[in-house]
Amino acid sequence: MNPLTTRPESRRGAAFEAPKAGLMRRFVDVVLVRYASVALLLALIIVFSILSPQFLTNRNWQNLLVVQSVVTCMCFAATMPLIVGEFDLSLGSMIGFLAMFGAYLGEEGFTAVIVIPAMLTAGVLVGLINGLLTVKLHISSFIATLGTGIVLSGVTLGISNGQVLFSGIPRLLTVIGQGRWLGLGVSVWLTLVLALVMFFALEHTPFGRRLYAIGGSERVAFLAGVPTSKMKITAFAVAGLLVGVGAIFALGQTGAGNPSFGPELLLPAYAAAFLSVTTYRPGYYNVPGIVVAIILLAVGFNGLNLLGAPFWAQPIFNGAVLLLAVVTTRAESRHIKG
Amino acid sequence: MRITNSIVSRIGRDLRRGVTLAAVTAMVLWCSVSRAEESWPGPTVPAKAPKDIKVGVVACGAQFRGCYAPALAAAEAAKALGWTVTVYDGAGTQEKQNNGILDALSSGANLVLTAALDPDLIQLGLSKAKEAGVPVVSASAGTDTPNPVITPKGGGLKYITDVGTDFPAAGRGLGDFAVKESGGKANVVVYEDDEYPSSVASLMGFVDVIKKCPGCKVSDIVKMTASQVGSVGQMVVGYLQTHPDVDWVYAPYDPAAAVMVNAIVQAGLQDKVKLVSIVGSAQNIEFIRQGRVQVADAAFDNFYMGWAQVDQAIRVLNKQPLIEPNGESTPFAIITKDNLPPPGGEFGTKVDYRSKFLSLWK
Repeated sequence: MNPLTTRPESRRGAAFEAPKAGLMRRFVDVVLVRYASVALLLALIIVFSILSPQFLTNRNWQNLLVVQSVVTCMCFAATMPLIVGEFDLSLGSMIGFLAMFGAYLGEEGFTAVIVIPAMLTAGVLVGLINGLLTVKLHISSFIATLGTGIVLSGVTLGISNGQVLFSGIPRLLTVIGQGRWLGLGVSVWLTLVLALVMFFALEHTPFGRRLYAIGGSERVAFLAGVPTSKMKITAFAVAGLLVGVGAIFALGQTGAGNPSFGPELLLPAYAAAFLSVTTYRPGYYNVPGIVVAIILLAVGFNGLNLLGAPFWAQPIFNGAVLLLAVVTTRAESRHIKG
Repeated sequence: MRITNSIVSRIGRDLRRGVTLAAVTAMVLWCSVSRAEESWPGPTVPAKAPKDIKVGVVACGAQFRGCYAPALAAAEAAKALGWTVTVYDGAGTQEKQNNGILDALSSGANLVLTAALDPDLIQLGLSKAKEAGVPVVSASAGTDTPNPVITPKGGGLKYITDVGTDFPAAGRGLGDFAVKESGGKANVVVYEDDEYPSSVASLMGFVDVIKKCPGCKVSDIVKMTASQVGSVGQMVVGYLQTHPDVDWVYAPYDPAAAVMVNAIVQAGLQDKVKLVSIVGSAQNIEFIRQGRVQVADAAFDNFYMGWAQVDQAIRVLNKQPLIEPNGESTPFAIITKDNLPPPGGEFGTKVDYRSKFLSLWK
């Protein structure tokens, strides 16, 4: 519009219209770029609430959340190496190994006082091995963790002899996995605490800022004085610890160690981790984004189940949600930059 | 007098005809009734089906025909009763199987039916069902009669009942076939998956027969898990190449057998080895038809099993005594090239069990 040729009235009209367009633009920017997943989640909740009277019940949400506690831990674990620019493909086999390890110790007569710390320590050790292989031996994390994962799957079969181990599981584990407190599962409360701790550590501590700095540019972070090698190894170790927590929940929920358990959780954990970058801090793996992503995928699965959707619908839904959220966020980001 | 005699003789003739006719009719009726009684393997005690029941059916995994078929059958039976049914896919993982039970409870189900779920792995689902007062009746887990009754240790929860075929008998049937077919000289490598009690039960029956055969041998019992189905083909080929005297393979279930058959053929060992398996999937029956390594399959009527599961569930809801054995004589057959079902088909009993069960439930 040429301000020299247009009449004053039209210029005044244009001036009145500009704030409205700007407000709308800003609203779209916030909703679609930063909270597309939240908007989708709310939309699904509304739709499923209308279509299924059981969806918004206390019992349904208690059940939905308790099952997600294991996947959430896996997702937190996947995120730690992702933040520093690495992958950990051993997570699925790791949780299977740690759960079986706990079941094995239980069957040998050890109590929760030994079993729980042992599982967590084993997780940290596996994480350290992954970190050392990647950082010190300069093996691609993709390959190193794939290798450790395959080794762990064999160890799981070995200590279990291919059998489900279910006797002697310490009572405390089943209380953690199946018990309830104030209407929510104990594992749900613990996951919430874990989420708060992770959020604080990643967003409000130097530790978290250094991790994101390494993920942004390892070279620049190193030149800025960040101990990048140590930090990356620590990220893998923390991932192992988080998998250990997830294994405790899983063992408590099932009450048994299953030699086939674990690998099926790897892809859902990564799907939620990738989905998390579309929310709260677009482009960055973040804890609020993970929580939204987990609940979004869980709501979709739960809603479809309650509606009696065919068995092949859920994987299609999960993939479609991931693609839609990422594409929407990227499209809006490009629009804003353009 | 002559007229009287004539009348009397006619009456006598008619009476004799009448008696003869009655006797023949009675014999025909008796034969048909007794034949029907012999053919019908299931229960005869009526169990009136309650109304307005909401059922959640949780299958071990839709990709496994052997456990999905009983789930579909149970859903079919429940719908025939006018019940509301939702089928949940356990996707082959304990997480989704537990989730399925929880979603069934969330949806307000007052009965949960499971198909081939190991109770040790779904304690979360079973504990929530117990809290909610919802009974859980299983099929095809192999944890109740006529199979060895398995009670979880350490206070674990179990199903109210499990409806399954006689897995040890199915295994023994395969063993008898292998002994006969090999002329009493079978040298068998046995693959065992301890994750499934039904698989263990049928394996025990098979091994029992082979061990009693003087000229036969169990070369090895090799452990495997369901997660190794993809790689079991290479495992068996490797074993057969290092043990050239082994000429029979026992697979714990049809999905593993299918992988093994293809691997054996690719390795060029198809003329040296015969394979037997359990479940009776269409693909494996086709192998038998084609003469492709697999020579026998212990097939059970998965659809009868699902209907029998609903029958036991009705008795649970009515607080009636359960039918013994709990498996309600779910039929099985050793399928060989001599008694193949039609192409693409699965084993199914010829008895009209649907009508029979419905008549008990009226």
